[in-house]
Amino acid sequence: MSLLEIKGVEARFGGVVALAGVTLDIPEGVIFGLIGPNGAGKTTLINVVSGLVKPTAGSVTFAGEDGGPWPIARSVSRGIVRTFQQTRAFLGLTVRENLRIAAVSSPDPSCIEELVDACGLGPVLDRTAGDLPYATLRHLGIALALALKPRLLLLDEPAVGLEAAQVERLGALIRRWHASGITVLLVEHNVRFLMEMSDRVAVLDRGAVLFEGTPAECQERQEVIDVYLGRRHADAAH
Amino acid sequence: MTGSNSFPRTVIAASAVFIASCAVALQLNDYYLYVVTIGAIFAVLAVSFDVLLGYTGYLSLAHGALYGLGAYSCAVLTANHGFGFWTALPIAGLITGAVGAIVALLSFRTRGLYFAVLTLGIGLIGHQLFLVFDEVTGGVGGFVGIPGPEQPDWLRVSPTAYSALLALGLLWVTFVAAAAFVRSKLGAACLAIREDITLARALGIRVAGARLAAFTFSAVFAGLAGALFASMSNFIAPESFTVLGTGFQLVALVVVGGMGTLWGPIVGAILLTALPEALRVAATYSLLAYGVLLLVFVIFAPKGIASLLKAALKSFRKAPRPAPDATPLRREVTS
Repeated sequence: MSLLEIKGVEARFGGVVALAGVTLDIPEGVIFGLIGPNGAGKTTLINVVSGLVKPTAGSVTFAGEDGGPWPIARSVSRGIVRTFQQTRAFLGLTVRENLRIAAVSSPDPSCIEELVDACGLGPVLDRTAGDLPYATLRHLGIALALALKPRLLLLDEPAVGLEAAQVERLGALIRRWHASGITVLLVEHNVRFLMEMSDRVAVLDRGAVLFEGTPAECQERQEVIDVYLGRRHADAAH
Repeated sequence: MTGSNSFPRTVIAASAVFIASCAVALQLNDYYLYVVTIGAIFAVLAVSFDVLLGYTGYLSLAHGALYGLGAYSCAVLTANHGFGFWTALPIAGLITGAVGAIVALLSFRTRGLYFAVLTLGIGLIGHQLFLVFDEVTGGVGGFVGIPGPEQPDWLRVSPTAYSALLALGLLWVTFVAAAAFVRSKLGAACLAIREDITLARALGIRVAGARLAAFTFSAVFAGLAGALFASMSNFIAPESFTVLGTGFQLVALVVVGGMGTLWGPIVGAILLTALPEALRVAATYSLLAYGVLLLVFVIFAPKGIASLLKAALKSFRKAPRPAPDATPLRREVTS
Protein backbone atom coordinates (compact mmCIF):
# COMPACT_ATOMS: atom_id res chain seq x y z
CA MET A 1 0.00 0.00 0.00
CA SER A 2 1.28 3.48 -0.89
CA LEU A 3 1.92 5.84 1.97
CA LEU A 4 2.79 8.77 -0.28
CA GLU A 5 1.48 9.29 -3.81
CA ILE A 6 3.00 12.16 -5.76
CA LYS A 7 0.97 12.87 -8.89
CA GLY A 8 2.18 15.09 -11.70
CA VAL A 9 3.93 17.58 -9.44
CA GLU A 10 5.36 20.60 -11.20
CA ALA A 11 7.38 23.42 -9.64
CA ARG A 12 8.51 26.46 -11.58
CA PHE A 13 10.56 29.37 -10.30
CA GLY A 14 10.17 32.10 -12.89
CA GLY A 15 11.38 30.51 -16.10
CA VAL A 16 13.17 27.64 -14.36
CA VAL A 17 11.35 24.31 -14.29
CA ALA A 18 12.53 22.51 -11.15
CA LEU A 19 9.97 19.69 -11.31
CA ALA A 20 8.29 18.75 -14.57
CA GLY A 21 5.41 16.47 -13.67
CA VAL A 22 6.88 14.07 -11.12
CA THR A 23 4.78 11.01 -10.31
CA LEU A 24 5.99 8.59 -7.64
CA ASP A 25 4.43 6.07 -5.28
CA ILE A 26 6.24 5.45 -2.01
CA PRO A 27 5.03 2.28 -0.28
CA GLU A 28 4.58 2.26 3.49
CA GLY A 29 7.46 0.83 5.49
CA VAL A 30 10.25 1.19 2.91
CA ILE A 31 13.39 3.23 2.67
CA PHE A 32 12.96 4.94 -0.68
CA GLY A 33 16.11 6.38 -2.19
CA LEU A 34 16.10 9.38 -4.50
CA ILE A 35 19.17 10.22 -6.54
CA GLY A 36 20.03 12.47 -9.43
CA PRO A 37 22.56 15.04 -10.57
CA ASN A 38 22.72 18.50 -9.02
CA GLY A 39 19.72 20.53 -10.07
CA ALA A 40 17.61 17.44 -10.82
CA GLY A 41 14.90 18.64 -8.42
CA LYS A 42 15.43 16.30 -5.45
CA THR A 43 15.41 18.97 -2.76
CA THR A 44 12.56 20.79 -4.50
CA LEU A 45 10.53 17.57 -4.35
CA ILE A 46 11.21 17.32 -0.61
CA ASN A 47 10.27 20.99 -0.24
CA VAL A 48 6.99 20.35 -2.06
CA VAL A 49 6.07 17.18 -0.15
CA SER A 50 6.90 18.80 3.21
CA GLY A 51 4.88 21.91 2.36
CA LEU A 52 7.74 24.39 2.23
CA VAL A 53 7.23 25.09 -1.48
CA LYS A 54 3.85 25.23 -3.20
CA PRO A 55 3.83 23.33 -6.49
CA THR A 56 2.54 25.02 -9.63
CA ALA A 57 0.64 21.82 -10.54
CA GLY A 58 0.03 18.32 -9.25
CA SER A 59 -1.07 16.83 -5.98
CA VAL A 60 0.04 14.68 -3.09
CA THR A 61 -1.92 11.95 -1.33
CA PHE A 62 -0.68 10.84 2.06
CA ALA A 63 -1.98 7.76 3.88
CA GLY A 64 -5.02 7.76 1.63
CA GLU A 65 -5.83 11.41 2.32
CA ASP A 66 -6.10 13.59 -0.78
CA GLY A 67 -5.60 17.35 -0.89
CA GLY A 68 -1.85 17.60 -0.38
CA PRO A 69 0.65 19.03 -0.31
CA TRP A 70 -0.38 20.81 2.84
CA PRO A 71 1.31 23.81 4.51
CA ILE A 72 4.28 22.65 6.52
CA ALA A 73 2.63 22.74 9.96
CA ARG A 74 -0.26 20.60 8.69
CA SER A 75 2.16 18.21 6.99
CA VAL A 76 3.96 17.75 10.30
CA SER A 77 0.70 17.09 12.11
CA ARG A 78 -0.03 14.35 9.53
CA GLY A 79 3.36 12.79 10.20
CA ILE A 80 5.45 14.16 7.30
CA VAL A 81 8.70 15.44 8.79
CA ARG A 82 11.86 16.56 7.06
CA THR A 83 15.50 17.39 7.66
CA PHE A 84 17.53 19.92 5.69
CA GLN A 85 20.44 19.61 3.28
CA GLN A 86 22.36 22.28 5.17
CA THR A 87 22.12 20.91 8.69
CA ARG A 88 19.62 22.93 10.61
CA ALA A 89 19.35 23.12 14.34
CA PHE A 90 18.81 26.09 16.63
CA LEU A 91 22.50 26.97 16.66
CA GLY A 92 22.34 29.65 19.37
CA LEU A 93 20.63 27.31 21.84
CA THR A 94 21.89 24.33 23.80
CA VAL A 95 21.11 20.79 22.69
CA ARG A 96 18.73 20.52 25.66
CA GLU A 97 16.85 23.64 24.50
CA ASN A 98 16.73 22.30 20.94
CA LEU A 99 15.10 19.12 22.18
CA ARG A 100 12.72 21.09 24.41
CA ILE A 101 11.53 22.89 21.27
CA ALA A 102 11.08 19.60 19.40
CA ALA A 103 9.03 18.37 22.37
CA VAL A 104 6.51 21.18 21.77
CA SER A 105 5.12 19.42 18.69
CA SER A 106 6.00 15.87 19.63
CA PRO A 107 3.03 13.57 20.14
CA ASP A 108 5.19 11.58 22.57
CA PRO A 109 7.89 13.71 24.25
CA SER A 110 9.04 10.75 26.32
CA CYS A 111 10.70 9.32 23.18
CA ILE A 112 13.28 12.11 23.34
CA GLU A 113 15.24 10.41 26.08
CA GLU A 114 15.66 7.36 23.85
CA LEU A 115 16.69 9.63 20.98
CA VAL A 116 19.34 11.29 23.11
CA ASP A 117 20.92 7.89 23.74
CA ALA A 118 20.55 6.67 20.16
CA CYS A 119 22.00 9.86 18.67
CA GLY A 120 24.83 10.10 21.21
CA LEU A 121 23.67 13.49 22.48
CA GLY A 122 23.85 12.73 26.22
CA PRO A 123 27.35 14.16 26.80
CA VAL A 124 26.57 17.37 24.88
CA LEU A 125 23.11 18.26 26.25
CA ASP A 126 24.29 21.57 27.70
CA ARG A 127 26.56 22.56 24.83
CA THR A 128 25.46 25.19 22.36
CA ALA A 129 24.40 23.51 19.12
CA GLY A 130 26.58 25.90 17.09
CA ASP A 131 29.68 24.58 18.90
CA LEU A 132 29.01 20.90 18.18
CA PRO A 133 31.20 18.81 15.87
CA TYR A 134 29.65 18.49 12.42
CA ALA A 135 28.61 14.84 12.76
CA THR A 136 26.97 15.45 16.15
CA LEU A 137 25.12 18.41 14.70
CA ARG A 138 23.85 16.16 11.90
CA HIS A 139 22.60 13.70 14.49
CA LEU A 140 20.92 16.52 16.40
CA GLY A 141 19.12 17.59 13.20
CA ILE A 142 17.84 14.06 12.72
CA ALA A 143 16.92 13.73 16.42
CA LEU A 144 14.80 16.90 16.14
CA ALA A 145 12.90 15.34 13.24
CA LEU A 146 12.55 11.92 14.89
CA ALA A 147 11.22 13.54 18.07
CA LEU A 148 8.07 14.34 16.10
CA LYS A 149 7.39 10.61 15.64
CA PRO A 150 7.00 10.88 11.84
CA ARG A 151 5.23 8.35 9.65
CA LEU A 152 7.28 9.61 6.71
CA LEU A 153 10.77 10.98 7.29
CA LEU A 154 12.28 13.05 4.47
CA LEU A 155 16.07 13.02 4.79
CA ASP A 156 17.83 15.53 2.54
CA GLU A 157 21.44 14.43 2.08
CA PRO A 158 22.04 13.35 5.68
CA ALA A 159 25.46 11.82 4.94
CA VAL A 160 27.00 14.82 3.20
CA GLY A 161 30.31 15.80 4.78
CA LEU A 162 30.50 12.75 7.03
CA GLU A 163 33.44 10.34 7.22
CA ALA A 164 32.96 6.63 6.48
CA ALA A 165 32.57 5.57 10.13
CA GLN A 166 30.12 8.39 10.74
CA VAL A 167 28.10 7.40 7.67
CA GLU A 168 27.93 3.84 9.01
CA ARG A 169 26.66 5.10 12.35
CA LEU A 170 24.10 7.27 10.59
CA GLY A 171 22.93 4.26 8.58
CA ALA A 172 22.47 2.27 11.79
CA LEU A 173 20.46 5.12 13.28
CA ILE A 174 18.19 5.37 10.24
CA ARG A 175 17.68 1.58 10.16
CA ARG A 176 16.85 1.52 13.85
CA TRP A 177 14.05 4.05 13.44
CA HIS A 178 12.91 2.58 10.15
CA ALA A 179 12.51 -0.75 11.95
CA SER A 180 10.11 0.95 14.36
CA GLY A 181 7.75 1.60 11.43
CA ILE A 182 8.92 4.87 9.89
CA THR A 183 8.91 5.17 6.10
CA VAL A 184 11.97 7.04 4.84
CA LEU A 185 12.50 9.09 1.69
CA LEU A 186 16.25 9.41 1.42
CA VAL A 187 17.90 11.94 -0.89
CA GLU A 188 21.62 11.32 -1.05
CA HIS A 189 24.65 11.85 -3.28
CA ASN A 190 26.57 9.07 -1.55
CA VAL A 191 25.41 6.40 -4.01
CA ARG A 192 26.92 3.45 -2.16
CA PHE A 193 25.24 4.50 1.09
CA LEU A 194 21.92 5.08 -0.65
CA MET A 195 21.97 1.76 -2.50
CA GLU A 196 22.81 -0.13 0.68
CA MET A 197 20.06 1.59 2.64
CA SER A 198 17.21 1.65 0.12
CA ASP A 199 14.51 -0.88 -0.67
CA ARG A 200 13.52 1.06 -3.78
CA VAL A 201 15.22 3.82 -5.73
CA ALA A 202 14.10 6.55 -8.11
CA VAL A 203 16.35 8.66 -10.30
CA LEU A 204 15.42 12.25 -11.06
CA ASP A 205 16.88 14.09 -14.01
CA ARG A 206 15.96 17.64 -15.01
CA GLY A 207 12.84 17.54 -12.88
CA ALA A 208 11.47 14.26 -14.20
CA VAL A 209 11.61 10.64 -13.05
CA LEU A 210 14.13 8.82 -15.20
CA PHE A 211 13.89 5.47 -13.47
CA GLU A 212 12.21 3.72 -10.57
CA GLY A 213 12.98 0.23 -9.28
CA THR A 214 15.18 -1.74 -6.94
CA PRO A 215 18.77 -0.65 -6.24
CA ALA A 216 20.10 -3.64 -8.21
CA GLU A 217 17.98 -2.76 -11.26
CA CYS A 218 19.00 0.88 -10.96
CA GLN A 219 22.70 0.11 -11.16
CA GLU A 220 22.15 -1.96 -14.31
CA ARG A 221 20.17 0.63 -16.26
CA GLN A 222 22.22 2.27 -18.97
CA GLU A 223 20.35 5.60 -18.96
CA VAL A 224 20.96 5.95 -15.20
CA ILE A 225 24.64 5.16 -15.68
CA ASP A 226 24.81 7.71 -18.50
CA VAL A 227 23.04 10.48 -16.62
CA TYR A 228 24.24 9.97 -13.08
CA LEU A 229 26.09 6.85 -12.01
CA GLY A 230 28.68 7.07 -14.76
CA ARG A 231 29.46 10.64 -13.79
CA ARG A 232 29.69 9.72 -10.10
CA HIS A 233 31.95 6.77 -10.88
CA ALA A 234 34.13 8.96 -13.06
CA ASP A 235 34.30 11.58 -10.28
CA ALA A 236 35.27 8.86 -7.82
CA ALA A 237 37.99 7.60 -10.14
CA HIS A 238 39.53 11.08 -10.24
CA MET B 1 18.54 31.61 28.70
CA THR B 2 15.88 29.67 30.50
CA GLY B 3 18.49 27.23 31.67
CA SER B 4 17.51 24.34 33.86
CA ASN B 5 16.38 26.41 36.86
CA SER B 6 13.06 25.28 38.11
CA PHE B 7 10.16 27.68 37.97
CA PRO B 8 9.42 27.50 41.73
CA ARG B 9 13.02 28.51 42.45
CA THR B 10 12.63 31.52 40.15
CA VAL B 11 9.41 32.54 41.92
CA ILE B 12 11.05 32.23 45.35
CA ALA B 13 14.06 34.30 44.24
CA ALA B 14 11.80 36.95 42.68
CA SER B 15 9.67 37.06 45.83
CA ALA B 16 12.73 37.47 48.05
CA VAL B 17 14.01 40.35 45.91
CA PHE B 18 10.52 41.90 45.89
CA ILE B 19 10.20 41.78 49.71
CA ALA B 20 13.72 43.18 50.16
CA SER B 21 13.01 45.96 47.63
CA CYS B 22 9.79 46.90 49.43
CA ALA B 23 11.61 46.97 52.77
CA VAL B 24 14.32 49.25 51.36
CA ALA B 25 11.79 51.45 49.54
CA LEU B 26 9.89 52.14 52.75
CA GLN B 27 13.03 53.73 54.21
CA LEU B 28 13.40 56.23 51.36
CA ASN B 29 12.21 59.82 51.09
CA ASP B 30 9.59 60.93 48.57
CA TYR B 31 12.11 61.87 45.89
CA TYR B 32 13.81 58.47 45.89
CA LEU B 33 10.43 56.74 46.14
CA TYR B 34 9.43 58.51 42.94
CA VAL B 35 12.62 57.31 41.25
CA VAL B 36 11.93 53.74 42.46
CA THR B 37 8.35 53.94 41.12
CA ILE B 38 9.40 55.18 37.69
CA GLY B 39 12.27 52.66 37.59
CA ALA B 40 9.89 49.80 38.46
CA ILE B 41 7.32 50.90 35.87
CA PHE B 42 10.04 51.01 33.20
CA ALA B 43 11.26 47.63 34.43
CA VAL B 44 7.74 46.24 33.88
CA LEU B 45 7.84 47.63 30.35
CA ALA B 46 11.34 46.24 29.79
CA VAL B 47 10.49 42.72 31.02
CA SER B 48 7.35 42.55 28.89
CA PHE B 49 9.32 43.94 25.93
CA ASP B 50 12.02 41.30 26.47
CA VAL B 51 9.45 38.55 25.86
CA LEU B 52 8.96 39.99 22.38
CA LEU B 53 12.46 41.24 21.51
CA GLY B 54 14.69 38.95 23.55
CA TYR B 55 12.76 35.70 23.31
CA THR B 56 10.89 36.00 20.02
CA GLY B 57 13.30 38.23 18.08
CA TYR B 58 10.89 40.96 17.00
CA LEU B 59 11.79 44.62 17.49
CA SER B 60 8.56 46.55 18.06
CA LEU B 61 8.59 50.33 18.11
CA ALA B 62 4.85 50.47 18.83
CA HIS B 63 5.29 49.84 22.54
CA GLY B 64 5.46 53.52 23.46
CA ALA B 65 1.97 53.91 22.02
CA LEU B 66 0.71 50.73 23.72
CA TYR B 67 2.08 52.01 27.02
CA GLY B 68 0.20 55.26 26.33
CA LEU B 69 -2.99 53.38 25.47
CA GLY B 70 -2.89 51.66 28.86
CA ALA B 71 -2.33 55.02 30.54
CA TYR B 72 -5.17 56.81 28.72
CA SER B 73 -7.52 53.83 29.20
CA CYS B 74 -6.98 53.95 32.95
CA ALA B 75 -7.26 57.76 33.00
CA VAL B 76 -10.58 57.76 31.11
CA LEU B 77 -12.03 54.88 33.12
CA THR B 78 -11.15 56.34 36.52
CA ALA B 79 -11.53 60.09 35.90
CA ASN B 80 -14.46 60.13 33.45
CA HIS B 81 -16.40 56.97 34.27
CA GLY B 82 -15.89 56.57 38.00
CA PHE B 83 -14.12 53.22 37.89
CA GLY B 84 -11.86 52.39 40.81
CA PHE B 85 -8.16 51.87 40.12
CA TRP B 86 -8.33 48.12 40.79
CA THR B 87 -11.12 47.73 38.23
CA ALA B 88 -9.56 50.08 35.70
CA LEU B 89 -6.11 48.46 35.90
CA PRO B 90 -7.04 45.03 34.45
CA ILE B 91 -9.45 46.61 31.94
CA ALA B 92 -6.65 48.88 30.70
CA GLY B 93 -4.41 45.81 30.37
CA LEU B 94 -7.07 43.93 28.42
CA ILE B 95 -7.78 46.87 26.11
CA THR B 96 -4.08 47.24 25.38
CA GLY B 97 -3.74 43.49 24.89
CA ALA B 98 -6.62 43.46 22.41
CA VAL B 99 -5.18 46.40 20.45
CA GLY B 100 -1.75 44.77 20.68
CA ALA B 101 -3.18 41.60 19.14
CA ILE B 102 -4.59 43.61 16.23
CA VAL B 103 -1.25 45.40 15.79
CA ALA B 104 0.46 42.01 15.86
CA LEU B 105 -1.85 40.57 13.20
CA LEU B 106 -1.02 43.54 10.96
CA SER B 107 2.68 43.63 11.72
CA PHE B 108 3.54 39.94 11.49
CA ARG B 109 3.00 40.06 7.75
CA THR B 110 6.56 41.40 7.80
CA ARG B 111 9.85 40.46 9.45
CA GLY B 112 13.12 42.02 10.55
CA LEU B 113 13.64 45.66 9.65
CA TYR B 114 10.27 45.84 7.90
CA PHE B 115 8.55 44.74 11.09
CA ALA B 116 10.41 47.44 13.03
CA VAL B 117 9.48 50.11 10.45
CA LEU B 118 5.84 49.00 10.36
CA THR B 119 5.58 49.16 14.16
CA LEU B 120 7.37 52.52 14.05
CA GLY B 121 4.50 53.73 11.87
CA ILE B 122 1.94 52.33 14.31
CA GLY B 123 3.78 53.99 17.20
CA LEU B 124 3.72 57.34 15.38
CA ILE B 125 0.02 56.97 14.56
CA GLY B 126 -0.73 56.11 18.20
CA HIS B 127 1.08 59.20 19.42
CA GLN B 128 -0.74 61.39 16.91
CA LEU B 129 -4.10 59.94 18.00
CA PHE B 130 -3.31 60.91 21.61
CA LEU B 131 -2.77 64.47 20.32
CA VAL B 132 -5.71 64.63 17.93
CA PHE B 133 -8.48 63.14 20.08
CA ASP B 134 -8.13 65.94 22.58
CA GLU B 135 -11.72 65.62 23.81
CA VAL B 136 -10.81 62.26 25.27
CA THR B 137 -7.09 62.57 25.90
CA GLY B 138 -6.76 66.29 26.63
CA GLY B 139 -4.51 66.63 23.56
CA VAL B 140 -1.22 68.43 23.86
CA GLY B 141 -2.29 69.95 27.19
CA GLY B 142 -2.52 66.48 28.71
CA PHE B 143 -5.07 64.63 30.81
CA VAL B 144 -5.34 66.13 34.28
CA GLY B 145 -7.00 64.98 37.47
CA ILE B 146 -6.46 61.22 37.24
CA PRO B 147 -7.39 59.68 40.60
CA GLY B 148 -4.56 57.91 42.41
CA PRO B 149 -4.81 54.27 43.41
CA GLU B 150 -7.10 53.69 46.40
CA GLN B 151 -5.05 52.79 49.42
CA PRO B 152 -6.36 50.18 51.88
CA ASP B 153 -6.91 51.50 55.41
CA TRP B 154 -4.63 48.95 57.01
CA LEU B 155 -1.63 50.05 54.99
CA ARG B 156 -0.31 53.14 56.75
CA VAL B 157 2.22 54.51 54.27
CA SER B 158 2.42 57.74 52.28
CA PRO B 159 0.74 57.86 48.83
CA THR B 160 4.22 58.06 47.27
CA ALA B 161 5.34 54.97 49.15
CA TYR B 162 2.12 53.20 48.16
CA SER B 163 2.77 53.95 44.48
CA ALA B 164 6.28 52.54 44.83
CA LEU B 165 4.94 49.37 46.47
CA LEU B 166 2.35 48.99 43.71
CA ALA B 167 4.99 49.44 41.01
CA LEU B 168 7.26 46.87 42.67
CA GLY B 169 4.28 44.53 43.04
CA LEU B 170 3.41 44.89 39.36
CA LEU B 171 7.04 44.23 38.51
CA TRP B 172 6.93 41.00 40.56
CA VAL B 173 3.73 39.89 38.80
CA THR B 174 5.17 40.75 35.38
CA PHE B 175 8.43 38.93 36.04
CA VAL B 176 6.72 35.77 37.32
CA ALA B 177 4.21 35.80 34.45
CA ALA B 178 7.01 36.32 31.91
CA ALA B 179 9.09 33.54 33.50
CA ALA B 180 6.07 31.21 33.25
CA PHE B 181 5.50 32.26 29.64
CA VAL B 182 9.07 31.65 28.46
CA ARG B 183 9.14 28.24 30.19
CA SER B 184 5.86 27.18 28.59
CA LYS B 185 5.45 25.49 25.22
CA LEU B 186 4.65 28.93 23.79
CA GLY B 187 7.95 30.22 25.15
CA ALA B 188 9.83 27.33 23.53
CA ALA B 189 8.03 28.08 20.28
CA CYS B 190 9.04 31.76 20.55
CA LEU B 191 12.69 30.77 21.02
CA ALA B 192 12.44 28.57 17.94
CA ILE B 193 11.00 31.46 15.93
CA ARG B 194 13.79 33.77 17.08
CA GLU B 195 16.50 31.27 16.18
CA ASP B 196 15.30 29.86 12.85
CA ILE B 197 11.74 30.40 11.68
CA THR B 198 12.01 27.90 8.80
CA LEU B 199 13.21 25.12 11.08
CA ALA B 200 10.54 26.10 13.61
CA ARG B 201 7.90 25.59 10.92
CA ALA B 202 9.49 22.31 9.83
CA LEU B 203 9.18 21.10 13.43
CA GLY B 204 5.47 21.82 13.41
CA ILE B 205 5.66 24.99 15.52
CA ARG B 206 2.54 27.13 15.03
CA VAL B 207 4.55 30.26 14.29
CA ALA B 208 1.59 32.64 13.89
CA GLY B 209 0.00 31.63 17.19
CA ALA B 210 3.23 31.75 19.19
CA ARG B 211 4.32 35.20 18.05
CA LEU B 212 0.78 36.55 18.41
CA ALA B 213 0.80 35.28 22.00
CA ALA B 214 4.18 36.92 22.64
CA PHE B 215 3.08 40.29 21.26
CA THR B 216 -0.24 40.19 23.12
CA PHE B 217 1.46 39.21 26.38
CA SER B 218 3.92 42.06 25.92
CA ALA B 219 1.10 44.52 25.12
CA VAL B 220 -1.00 43.55 28.17
CA PHE B 221 1.86 44.31 30.55
CA ALA B 222 2.79 47.50 28.68
CA GLY B 223 -0.83 48.55 29.22
CA LEU B 224 -0.70 47.68 32.93
CA ALA B 225 2.52 49.70 33.27
CA GLY B 226 0.85 52.65 31.53
CA ALA B 227 -2.23 52.39 33.75
CA LEU B 228 -0.14 52.48 36.91
CA PHE B 229 1.94 55.36 35.53
CA ALA B 230 -1.23 57.38 34.82
CA SER B 231 -2.73 56.67 38.20
CA MET B 232 0.36 57.52 40.23
CA SER B 233 1.18 60.61 38.15
CA ASN B 234 -2.34 62.14 38.24
CA PHE B 235 -1.41 63.74 34.90
CA ILE B 236 -0.36 62.31 31.53
CA ALA B 237 0.50 63.90 28.20
CA PRO B 238 1.33 62.48 24.74
CA GLU B 239 5.00 63.45 25.13
CA SER B 240 5.39 60.56 27.60
CA PHE B 241 4.47 58.03 24.90
CA THR B 242 6.51 58.96 21.86
CA VAL B 243 8.39 56.53 19.65
CA LEU B 244 11.60 58.50 19.96
CA GLY B 245 11.24 58.77 23.72
CA THR B 246 9.64 55.71 25.26
CA GLY B 247 9.82 53.44 22.19
CA PHE B 248 13.59 53.68 21.71
CA GLN B 249 14.29 53.95 25.43
CA LEU B 250 12.70 50.53 25.86
CA VAL B 251 15.07 49.09 23.28
CA ALA B 252 18.00 50.65 25.16
CA LEU B 253 16.83 49.23 28.52
CA VAL B 254 16.58 45.71 27.15
CA VAL B 255 19.82 45.82 25.14
CA VAL B 256 21.86 47.33 27.97
CA GLY B 257 20.32 44.97 30.50
CA GLY B 258 20.70 41.83 28.42
CA MET B 259 18.15 40.47 25.97
CA GLY B 260 16.50 37.14 26.59
CA THR B 261 17.17 37.00 30.32
CA LEU B 262 14.10 38.77 31.84
CA TRP B 263 16.13 39.95 34.84
CA GLY B 264 18.75 41.78 32.75
CA PRO B 265 16.21 44.34 31.46
CA ILE B 266 15.20 45.05 35.08
CA VAL B 267 18.83 45.91 35.85
CA GLY B 268 18.95 47.99 32.66
CA ALA B 269 15.78 49.85 33.66
CA ILE B 270 17.12 50.60 37.14
CA LEU B 271 20.46 51.78 35.78
CA LEU B 272 19.06 53.94 33.00
CA THR B 273 16.41 55.47 35.29
CA ALA B 274 18.83 56.14 38.12
CA LEU B 275 21.64 57.51 35.97
CA PRO B 276 19.94 60.74 34.81
CA GLU B 277 18.76 61.31 38.38
CA ALA B 278 22.26 60.77 39.78
CA LEU B 279 23.65 63.21 37.22
CA ARG B 280 20.98 65.81 37.85
CA VAL B 281 23.63 68.02 39.51
CA ALA B 282 25.41 68.15 36.18
CA ALA B 283 22.37 68.22 33.93
CA THR B 284 24.38 69.29 30.90
CA TYR B 285 26.36 66.08 31.02
CA SER B 286 23.45 63.81 31.91
CA LEU B 287 22.38 62.97 28.36
CA LEU B 288 26.02 62.81 27.26
CA ALA B 289 26.74 60.21 29.95
CA TYR B 290 23.60 58.31 28.96
CA GLY B 291 24.72 58.18 25.34
CA VAL B 292 28.27 57.17 26.25
CA LEU B 293 26.93 54.39 28.46
CA LEU B 294 24.86 53.02 25.59
CA LEU B 295 27.90 53.10 23.29
CA VAL B 296 30.10 51.37 25.85
CA PHE B 297 27.61 48.57 26.35
CA VAL B 298 26.88 47.99 22.70
CA ILE B 299 30.61 47.92 21.85
CA PHE B 300 32.11 46.14 24.86
CA ALA B 301 29.19 44.15 26.30
CA PRO B 302 26.74 43.53 23.47
CA LYS B 303 24.97 40.87 25.53
CA GLY B 304 24.30 43.43 28.24
CA ILE B 305 24.80 43.70 31.96
CA ALA B 306 23.33 40.23 32.46
CA SER B 307 26.22 38.59 30.62
CA LEU B 308 28.78 40.64 32.62
CA LEU B 309 27.14 39.66 35.90
CA LYS B 310 26.95 36.01 34.87
CA ALA B 311 30.65 36.01 33.95
CA ALA B 312 31.57 37.71 37.23
CA LEU B 313 29.49 35.24 39.22
CA LYS B 314 31.13 32.33 37.43
CA SER B 315 34.63 33.57 38.20
CA PHE B 316 33.77 34.06 41.89
CA ARG B 317 32.45 30.54 42.29
CA LYS B 318 35.13 28.38 43.83
CA ALA B 319 33.35 25.05 44.02
CA PRO B 320 32.61 23.35 40.68
CA ARG B 321 28.98 23.40 39.69
CA PRO B 322 27.08 20.13 39.67
CA ALA B 323 26.82 18.65 36.21
CA PRO B 324 23.84 20.21 34.40
CA ASP B 325 23.10 16.72 33.07
CA ALA B 326 21.86 15.87 36.53
CA THR B 327 18.47 17.35 35.59
CA PRO B 328 16.50 14.49 34.08
CA LEU B 329 15.76 15.34 30.48
CA ARG B 330 12.44 13.54 30.52
CA ARG B 331 11.12 15.83 33.26
CA GLU B 332 12.19 18.95 31.36
CA VAL B 333 10.87 18.10 27.94
CA THR B 334 7.59 16.72 29.15
CA SER B 335 6.82 19.49 31.62
